[in-house]
Amino acid sequence: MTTRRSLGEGIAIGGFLLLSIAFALLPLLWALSTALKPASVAESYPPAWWPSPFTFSNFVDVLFGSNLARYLMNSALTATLSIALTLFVAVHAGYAAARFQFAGRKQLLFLILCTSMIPGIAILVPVYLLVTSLGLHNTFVAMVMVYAAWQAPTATWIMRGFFQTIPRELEESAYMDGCSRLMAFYRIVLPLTQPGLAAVGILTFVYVWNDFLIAYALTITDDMRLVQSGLYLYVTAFGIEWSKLMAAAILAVIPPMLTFVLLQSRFIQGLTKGAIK
Amino acid sequence: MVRVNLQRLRKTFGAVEAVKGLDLTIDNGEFIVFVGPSGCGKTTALRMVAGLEDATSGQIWIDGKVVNDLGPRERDIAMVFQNYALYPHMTVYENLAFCLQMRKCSKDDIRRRIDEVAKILNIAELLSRKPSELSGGQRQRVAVGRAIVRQPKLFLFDEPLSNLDAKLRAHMRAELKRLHYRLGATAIYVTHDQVEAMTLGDRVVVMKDGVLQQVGAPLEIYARPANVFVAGFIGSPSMNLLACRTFGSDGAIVLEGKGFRFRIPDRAFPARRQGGGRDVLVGIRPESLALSVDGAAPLAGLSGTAEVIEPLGAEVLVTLNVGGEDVIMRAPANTNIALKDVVPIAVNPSEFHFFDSETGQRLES
Repeated sequence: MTTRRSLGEGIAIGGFLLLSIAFALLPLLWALSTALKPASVAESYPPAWWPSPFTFSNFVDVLFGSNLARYLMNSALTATLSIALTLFVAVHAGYAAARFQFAGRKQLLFLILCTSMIPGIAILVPVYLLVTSLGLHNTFVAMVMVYAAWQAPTATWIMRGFFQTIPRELEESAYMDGCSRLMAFYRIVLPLTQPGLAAVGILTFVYVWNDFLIAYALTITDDMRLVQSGLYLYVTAFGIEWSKLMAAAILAVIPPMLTFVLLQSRFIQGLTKGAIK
Repeated sequence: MVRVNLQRLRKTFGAVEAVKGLDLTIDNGEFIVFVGPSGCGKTTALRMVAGLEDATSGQIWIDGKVVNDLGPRERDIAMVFQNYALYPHMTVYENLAFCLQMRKCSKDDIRRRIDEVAKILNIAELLSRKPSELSGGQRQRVAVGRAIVRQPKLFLFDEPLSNLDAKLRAHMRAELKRLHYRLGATAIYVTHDQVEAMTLGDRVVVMKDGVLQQVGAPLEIYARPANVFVAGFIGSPSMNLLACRTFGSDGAIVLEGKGFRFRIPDRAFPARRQGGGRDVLVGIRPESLALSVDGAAPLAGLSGTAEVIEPLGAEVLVTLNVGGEDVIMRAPANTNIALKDVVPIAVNPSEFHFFDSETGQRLES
């Protein structure tokens, strides 16, 4: 059944949506405008919306005159490894939660979900002490493990939902065709959860990319720094280099944005799967 | 082709006993059909043979070997599932090739065998499609193809036609029968549809509540049902069952029930030696009943009021009220019966089936 909207309703809804978009995009547009202004114009008062004179020098400076490229590479590497580890844990745990019956399964699942509700800052000190005592401070290994541990509970729940939607007969058919349980899982079940894998991948990527707290606490040298803590370097004791900071921020936003745009349809499918029959 | 032997096979799920000591031998090349209502244990029995469920006790012999401890892939059995279970991310060709790849067949061999099967099942033009691009009938054909391409020892079918519409189901039933003639392979087929059971099976196994009720050729089961359940389950419309009490008198037996009383020669009553005075259920197939107005001799005392008339084209099903019980009669298409007519019924007593009203077992002479 479809309902026809009146012109007034349509305008009201359209207007509300436009306002929402403007509200969401305003900071980004302001950042872009600032990044395209010379430092003197960016810090002048009253602020000008339109960059005049218009310059790309801030982008050139942060990309080639600083370590930003390195930070971006570090973030990309950490995010990729974190996605791999998160998915590895989540697909196996999610499958076990979906398919195996064992004592305390529900309680365990609830407990797993509870861990993702703890605010990061609450366990930052224990995590820092643990990583330091293991001798892993200022290493990618530590960051990847912490990020994966942080994302795995949510990812496990998402993947569990996906595995539950896959008919058991497909696996049984694979057994009859000559597969072991693991072979049936890797060759038949896992390929069918691609939207779920994409959703978990994007969520983990965005989380790792945007994280400041863990990245800042677990790294110390410039060559290990991730992009968000790298941006913080533009906030100095002598002031904030707004034009360069905004240029670096714009560059830092591009990878997650691109990832989302490219995988958007799968991501949405992944998040809504199982919501309706 | 193999011989399958099930010995005292049992399966319990917690406190529920799904299969209760099933004993059965299936011969080489035999097409055997398990039939029964939902929850009768037929699918559980099939899944135990497949290796998808562990037997609680009892033994499964395939080809002279006990296979209880072997997994599905070690039993060399192919199975067609109710919902086909085609791999959605693979093309039809890949679906057919998958089991052969798992058995390390060469690419040429795979190609040759798939071409052969595609020809038999008329699916050659579908090989590059994904399952989502196929109709129900095509999917069913591919599912069967996936089973036969492997040339397994044994075929298992778990209600493979139940998702198809009536017309397609009849068509695929004939196709399966033709395929069985061609391959001559041993097959176990599970269904709740007694028409499928009767038309497809060399032998039919009727199950209820995890217990085998009767096994035999379809017509044998139809002609001599072992108990009331089989009598009521096999045949459409079902056999009419009338509760009555018997009395012996002068070389005849009197059957008296609610709203009727008639005599039959005592030779027609299998338990005549035990005399009269017992409660029985008399079973009469709808086609054994005729209108006495159609020229058949009436059975004195048996008549009913026409309450429902269902013309089927080739025949008419008439539901009569006989002493408060529904009795269905299969009458010729040109029968002239109107609602509320009181119809005198003719029936040959030799076509009666007698069952003990307590045990439900068939009374034999």
